[in-house]
Amino acid sequence: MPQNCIAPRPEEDGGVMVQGLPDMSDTQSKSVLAFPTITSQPGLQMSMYPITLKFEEVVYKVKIEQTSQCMGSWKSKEKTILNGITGMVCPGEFLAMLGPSGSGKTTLLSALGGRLSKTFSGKVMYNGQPFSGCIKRRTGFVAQDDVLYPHLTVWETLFFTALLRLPSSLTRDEKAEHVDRVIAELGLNRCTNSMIGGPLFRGISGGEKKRVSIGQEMLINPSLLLLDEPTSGLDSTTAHRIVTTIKRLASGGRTVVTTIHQPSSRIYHMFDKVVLLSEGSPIYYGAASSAVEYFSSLGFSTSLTVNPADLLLDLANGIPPDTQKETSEQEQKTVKETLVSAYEKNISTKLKAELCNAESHSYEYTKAAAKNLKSEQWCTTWWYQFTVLLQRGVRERRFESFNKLRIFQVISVAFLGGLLWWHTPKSHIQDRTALLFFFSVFWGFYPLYNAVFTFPQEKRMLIKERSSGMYRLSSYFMARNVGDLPLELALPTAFVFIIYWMGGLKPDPTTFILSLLVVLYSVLVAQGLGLAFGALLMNIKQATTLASVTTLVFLIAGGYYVQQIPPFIVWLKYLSYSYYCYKLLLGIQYTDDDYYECSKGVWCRVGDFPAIKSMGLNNLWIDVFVMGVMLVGYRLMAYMALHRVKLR
Amino acid sequence: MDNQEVSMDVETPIAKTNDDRSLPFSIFKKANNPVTLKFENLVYTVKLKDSQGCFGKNDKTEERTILKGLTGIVKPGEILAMLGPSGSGKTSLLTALGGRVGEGKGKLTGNISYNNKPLSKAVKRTTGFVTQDDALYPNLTVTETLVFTALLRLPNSFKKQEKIKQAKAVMTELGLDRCKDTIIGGPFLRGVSGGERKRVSIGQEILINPSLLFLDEPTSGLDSTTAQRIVSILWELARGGRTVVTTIHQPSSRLFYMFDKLLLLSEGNPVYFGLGSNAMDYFASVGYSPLVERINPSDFLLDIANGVGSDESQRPEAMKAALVAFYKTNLLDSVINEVKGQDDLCNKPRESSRVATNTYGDWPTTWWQQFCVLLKRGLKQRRHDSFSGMKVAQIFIVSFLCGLLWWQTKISRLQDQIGLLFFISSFWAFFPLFQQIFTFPQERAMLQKERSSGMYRLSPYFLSRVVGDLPMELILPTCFLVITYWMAGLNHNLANFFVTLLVLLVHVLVSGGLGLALGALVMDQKSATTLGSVIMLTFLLAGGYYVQHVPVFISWIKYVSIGYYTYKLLILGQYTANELYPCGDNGKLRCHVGDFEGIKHIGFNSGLVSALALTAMLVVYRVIAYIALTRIGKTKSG
Repeated sequence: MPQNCIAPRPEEDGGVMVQGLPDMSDTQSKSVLAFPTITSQPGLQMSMYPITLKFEEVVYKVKIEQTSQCMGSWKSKEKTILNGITGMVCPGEFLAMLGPSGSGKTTLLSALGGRLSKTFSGKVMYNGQPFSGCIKRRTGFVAQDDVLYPHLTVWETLFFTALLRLPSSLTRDEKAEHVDRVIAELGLNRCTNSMIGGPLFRGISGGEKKRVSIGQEMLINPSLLLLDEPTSGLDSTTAHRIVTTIKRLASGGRTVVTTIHQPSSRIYHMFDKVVLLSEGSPIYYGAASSAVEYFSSLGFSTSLTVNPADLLLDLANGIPPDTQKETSEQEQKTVKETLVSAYEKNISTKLKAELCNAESHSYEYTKAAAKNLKSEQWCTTWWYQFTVLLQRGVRERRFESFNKLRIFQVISVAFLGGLLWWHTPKSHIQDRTALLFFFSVFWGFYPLYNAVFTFPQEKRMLIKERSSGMYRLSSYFMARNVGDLPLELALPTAFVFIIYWMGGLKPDPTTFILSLLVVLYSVLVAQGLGLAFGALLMNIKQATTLASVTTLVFLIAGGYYVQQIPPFIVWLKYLSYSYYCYKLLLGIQYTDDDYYECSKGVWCRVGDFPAIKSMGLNNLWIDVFVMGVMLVGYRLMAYMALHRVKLR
Repeated sequence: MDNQEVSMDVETPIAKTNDDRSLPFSIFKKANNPVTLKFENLVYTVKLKDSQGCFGKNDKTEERTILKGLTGIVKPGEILAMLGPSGSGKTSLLTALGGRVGEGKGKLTGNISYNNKPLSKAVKRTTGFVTQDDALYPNLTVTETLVFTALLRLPNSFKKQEKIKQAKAVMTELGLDRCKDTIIGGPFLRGVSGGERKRVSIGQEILINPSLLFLDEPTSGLDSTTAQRIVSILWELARGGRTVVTTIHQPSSRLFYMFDKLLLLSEGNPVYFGLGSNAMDYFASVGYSPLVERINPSDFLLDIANGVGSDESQRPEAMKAALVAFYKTNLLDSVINEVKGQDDLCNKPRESSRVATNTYGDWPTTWWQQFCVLLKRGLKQRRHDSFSGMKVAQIFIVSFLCGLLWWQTKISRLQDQIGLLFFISSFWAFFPLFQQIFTFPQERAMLQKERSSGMYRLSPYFLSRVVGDLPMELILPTCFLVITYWMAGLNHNLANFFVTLLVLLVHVLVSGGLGLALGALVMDQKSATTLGSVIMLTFLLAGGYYVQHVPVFISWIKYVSIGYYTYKLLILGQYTANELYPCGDNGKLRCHVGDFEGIKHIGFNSGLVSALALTAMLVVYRVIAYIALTRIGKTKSG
């Protein structure tokens, strides 16, 4: 019989010791753990705010709009993902949800963590209260995929998380202490200064990444910890180490729930309770150590030495034990139905009685604490969030911005261009205007292509962090924009410096500086447009396609390729920031009264040259103003688009 | 009790085998040429570069031994499972046994024999090798994938219809009929499930009815039911007289009991080799047993291979060393005896192996057959990519906007007209360049896998790729020019239009060729794209439109520039030197086109030279790509 546990009341004097918990831990340790455990370290924190989690008759359905090709003409309007799941997890308990792929484990976990976006029926209660903001901030949720910044080190990742998630009442040093403690507890000391790594470069191992993800949630010392498949893709030793860590967290008075697909024998024996799901229906709930006996009593027993989890998984798939040949689908269906009805008969009634009994106990002490927590909105101020995100962003992208390929690309083009335009004489005015147009074209498009990737690339991180209430969107957005400035402006500065002097443009420092400023201005506008495209579409492929069409249109409408645009389409010119950039560069380089040698001995006015005449050298401040509007407008569009991104 | 169960297990496959004999295309029928695989004292060493600093001078060369003296034998009808933690050498051993150790990667010593002979091409072609990653084309359906593989791998003693029948029989046997018309899918494209994809990979190897089958982690990432199904298939294959060798990381309890033989590795050392059913007894006899009764044997074995035991006083390293010593003391001699004991038996079927050699010695199909199948497969695979909605929309939007911006431009606006010509050459330089750059890097994994198994020659693959892309490469620029040319009001003469179209199409092919070459040389999308953009941008800048007076010391770039020759030919296609156009403000003054500043530096001579230069580039870039591709799929000859 599952233990009937009651959330213990903390000491009146506010001590962190939980009464009665050591006894329970000892009992659990003797009955569950098959191997000697590492004794808890003195530094292990106890939960400050125990949460008893109860879920009752959770039902979740989705509408199926598409027919599967494998099923042919089979159609269904609604599909039941969860079919009446009931259970309870007390502080100090470790509940594992088992079942094959598609049995609803992750859906149930999302429901328990308040992250199911659609409505489900049934009740999920936390200390007798429904899900709320203060429960959200006391809950740690470790998703199956490790969503981490690849270029940050382990320590940096955890430290930036601590700065953002821990309240302002702690000093920076105290937060750093928290980080050190978490690193020690998780056994990450060896790789503290290693980079996380990603698909393109090697970093820490899969197990270490998983522990970093868990560490991010441990920093807030959660009362309730939910983990989705924490051992997927890891080898058995690493998986065992992870679950051992999780087990120790539960021993500290936390409520821990995990989905796990196919645990090994040693891992299985660390669970306190298990829920076994089969196609959304429960077929077992109770003590992990009693599961095999339960199924034996139903007539499903095995003579082989097997992992209990393997037996449970086979049963959830409708495969009775000791089956050598492959069972037919009909036989599997029969087994499943037998198990579901057996659950209703043997477990469901007792479980509901147990929940009713547990409800009679009072949670007075937690209500008072909850009132205090409700007033807490953001952990930190806007400015604080901005500065932390700025630091993190700079560290994360120092490799990206200065990666060798980009530097090679820009400097190569600059030198080759400089050679091609080597000290162009003033009389070659066509070549000179072409050089100025090249400036506006190259730096109108290069930053745009880079910026397009910004938000789609970080979409998963943004969703994860915003889902846990880590920071405001505005502080993230501003930090991103400001953090990119110095790095994004360094390359164009080098480019203009090289090609301007090599190309032999007007050798006046003031003219050079003004030209540089115009190019940098164009870079910022182009970047803004790229950010907007990326944020609006949130899909790299689509954003890139739209960007390429836009750049081509701006290129040909920019005033150089076609100088007399037909009246009905001339409006396109005024949408192109390349047009304004080109015009400004011409206006800086020449004045109406300049002359050039258009043929031997003959001097002509610069203003009469067809390419320049069609642009004009006046009213430059209007151009500056229009680009300013674009600068602000595009970024505003990007921000609005990010606001619409749905949180999970 | 146990004996009775064992006998029951033995009876079932025998009966099934008898039943299957009547079926002509069953994959579970008898293997044609059973192979006994032996490996003796295998040692595999690789060189490590230990660069502790950023400077190359600090590099030190060290050697690391991956496999440390492995011996074993697998007979027809047996499944050998290789267990061990990550980094224990399982995949290296499998690669060595399969004859796929890449050239220059490391040094392999020891003896591997197949029916007491070294690896030969004949054996290689009757060997199936399923890698851990499924390298499949995402846009092909399950049926298409298997049919194309059958057409390429089955010898010409099969007729085409027989090959197709064989492919469909494999699908049925593997339980893939339900999703036969579903595409494989990939990271960005939803398709069949992971288990189905794995079965397709296995099916590709089973088509040739291999005598010897290697599988690397066939159940990774699959749930237990799917894994069970995969191993059941392997079990049936082995019962048909095949030799099956697989690495498997963490099998469930039920899977564990389906393996005949077990090799447990720990850091490249053998810890156990023998019957799977005897493994737990062996370790108990040397003092290692699980604490709890209900345990998955493979969990226990992995723990001890990691040096984790019930006795906490023994450190992991000491435990590993003890296990290796126990192996040498208790098991090595019997393994060696088993290996040697098979010598006499294997000598007898020498006569039959001669026949096999003749049958499988050469390529299974002709060059032309390979080309046709690869062409057909390539067209199916890429029809989605080539005419994706976004790409087509992009082309039409740009062409219409060009038409509007240059709407009915008269020759009096000569500067604008040549601007359009140059824009066309610019646009159709970058567009095919970036399309083609992705060609070979994207298919590298598939090419490597298929070439490694001797499926086809490189030349039919390359030519089918080039030929197959032609129509798709040429349709879009044709549409583009039809729209833009007439909207913009260029030379109304039909002959001029076709000359312009011809130049444009050649230009597209040359730019695409450069993309192919860069993609094949660099084999990394990011680097190739960067390099390609720099090169093409330089070619366009030197093309005569932006910079009309190129300095002498850098003017050589002009003569290797795609943009230069194309731009020149486009101008020649529109104008003649003596053609007159109104050049004054009032329109009364008339000038020679040849004297226009933007055209004068291009010149109206040497049109033939430009055409020849482009033609040469067309050929040379593709030759470079072909030569670069020959590096892929090369393996050390066993």
